[in-house]
Amino acid sequence: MSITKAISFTLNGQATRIEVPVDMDALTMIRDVLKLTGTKLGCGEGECGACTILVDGTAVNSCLMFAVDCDGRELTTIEGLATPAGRSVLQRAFVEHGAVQCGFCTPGLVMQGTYLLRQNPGLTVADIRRGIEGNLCRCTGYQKVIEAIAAAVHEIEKGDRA
Amino acid sequence: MKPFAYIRPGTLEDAARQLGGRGAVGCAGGTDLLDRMKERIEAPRILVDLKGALDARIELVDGGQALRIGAAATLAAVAGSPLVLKHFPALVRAVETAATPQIRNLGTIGGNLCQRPRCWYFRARDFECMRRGGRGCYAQEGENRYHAVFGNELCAITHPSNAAPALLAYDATLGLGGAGETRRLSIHEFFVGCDEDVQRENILEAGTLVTEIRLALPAASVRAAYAELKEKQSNDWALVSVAVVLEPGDAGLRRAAVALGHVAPVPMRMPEVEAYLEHKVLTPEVAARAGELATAHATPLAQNGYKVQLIRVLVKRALLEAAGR
Ligand SMILES: Cc1cc2nc3c(=O)[nH]c(=O)nc-3n(C[C@H](O)[C@H](O)[C@H](O)COP(=O)(O)OP(=O)(O)OC[C@H]3O[C@@H](n4cnc5c(N)ncnc54)[C@H](O)[C@@H]3O)c2cc1C
Ligand code: SF4
Ligand code: FES
Ligand code: FES
Repeated sequence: MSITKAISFTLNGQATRIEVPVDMDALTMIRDVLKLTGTKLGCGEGECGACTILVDGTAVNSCLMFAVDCDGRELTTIEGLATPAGRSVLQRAFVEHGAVQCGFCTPGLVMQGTYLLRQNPGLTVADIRRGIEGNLCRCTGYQKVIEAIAAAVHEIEKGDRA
Repeated sequence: MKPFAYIRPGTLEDAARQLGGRGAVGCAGGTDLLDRMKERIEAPRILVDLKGALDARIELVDGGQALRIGAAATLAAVAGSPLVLKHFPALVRAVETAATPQIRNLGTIGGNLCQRPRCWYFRARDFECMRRGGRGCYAQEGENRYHAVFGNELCAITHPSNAAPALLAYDATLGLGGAGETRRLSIHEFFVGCDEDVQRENILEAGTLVTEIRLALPAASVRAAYAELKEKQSNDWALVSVAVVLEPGDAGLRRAAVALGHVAPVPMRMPEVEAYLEHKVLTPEVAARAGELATAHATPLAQNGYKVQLIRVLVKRALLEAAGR
């Protein structure tokens, strides 16, 4: 049996304290322990981006991060993007632009897209293409996804927040 | 055996002491280590988080003569640093094409230099090859299209780091610390070939860490380039990478540094190519000849002969790019 460690962090704005096995990855903690299943397990080894979350505002693969490494940090998962006012600008853009087919890659792509928009609200299409290199999608051929993120850039220019 | 402890020491000395424990393994971003644990080829008993003992600063030091990169700086931080871009553009190019944006946000430059090989036999639990302490090399007769074309007689891994060839071409110095004395080591003495020890990729002993990378600022006239080819042009490992640093002289090149990555168990400088380039004017013919010379001692395996041609093309391409042609 591996031992556990008590850690605390903010998850989608809520203070969270749990005990995690020290060899657990952050993705397993989020999905299996905290039961937030929006974040997906695709490859488990950094290739597909389905597990992308924000840690202190930075997009990372939760499958390649130790859960204990979340201690003291601020985590945002796909469940944390919508506000009482509704879906985020990028979530709306994904729906409006048909960027979702089977939907498996979508939470990861929306998190990565959100990160890119917050880093650089003036993203170009070239920036978007490079920025989603770490997210695999088997359905859309990426074009609709790129259009959705580009549309969000446009909405943000008009005053929306990423 | 699963890990039974996680420790986050706050100082280098403490980290070194903890790493001296049986089964202790250091972890920076964890992107390489966690992957090996998932493949069950690594089973630490003690995880020592190195982030409290290392720093992530990127700054000018030595009165503005050198650039210092703390080993815990992420690849994204290095790629995004205006200081690094201004003085060491080939290093930026090398790290910004490594892995994916998310991995670059987690993975550190120290971890990039110390990551273990990506040979698919090495990463698969069932293949106990000589690098894992077993016998033989499965790649020699097996699936070897991504393997080494130099120095591959015993084990045919390619060193996976993108940063390494760039740092080699820039003659970087590494700061080592932790167990033993704190010292500086030329990057040329850091990597270990198979003939020396087939079970390790660098000289680090347990408890010794890379603490920093130092680079002397080049003269303003120095030009550099990094070129690589991948099977897919995004989210993939380089098949071959080349970093070049050129110092122009009055007639032709005063000095040229040419380094290859992903073609041998260690990143390699190419002294014969460099000697040939000295005092030459970099025409396309000269660059092509340099590419030829770079492959003179290649010993490709059954499936990776194509890498020899990639080396020719990329050496030429990187040289011409650096020369602005
Ligand atoms: C899908 C995928 C694609 C990738 N593609 C590329 C690529 O194209 N090019 C490329 O270069 N890399 C690539 N990588 C590798 C990635 O860059 C490395 O995993 C990362 O840089 C390692 O850094 P880390 O901090 O996460 O290392 P860790 O996993 O924390 O550590 C790696 C190893 O180095 C040791 N270590 C870490 N820091 C130090 C230190 N300061 N001193 C001594 N030892 C230390 C650890 O003990 C461990 O054994 C890829 C990885 C993945 C998962
Ligand atoms: S190339 Fe090296 S790591 Fe791969 S199977 Fe051969 S000995 Fe093992
Ligand atoms: S599940 Fe994390 S990158 Fe695929
Ligand atoms: S919508 Fe199916 S994988 Fe992207």
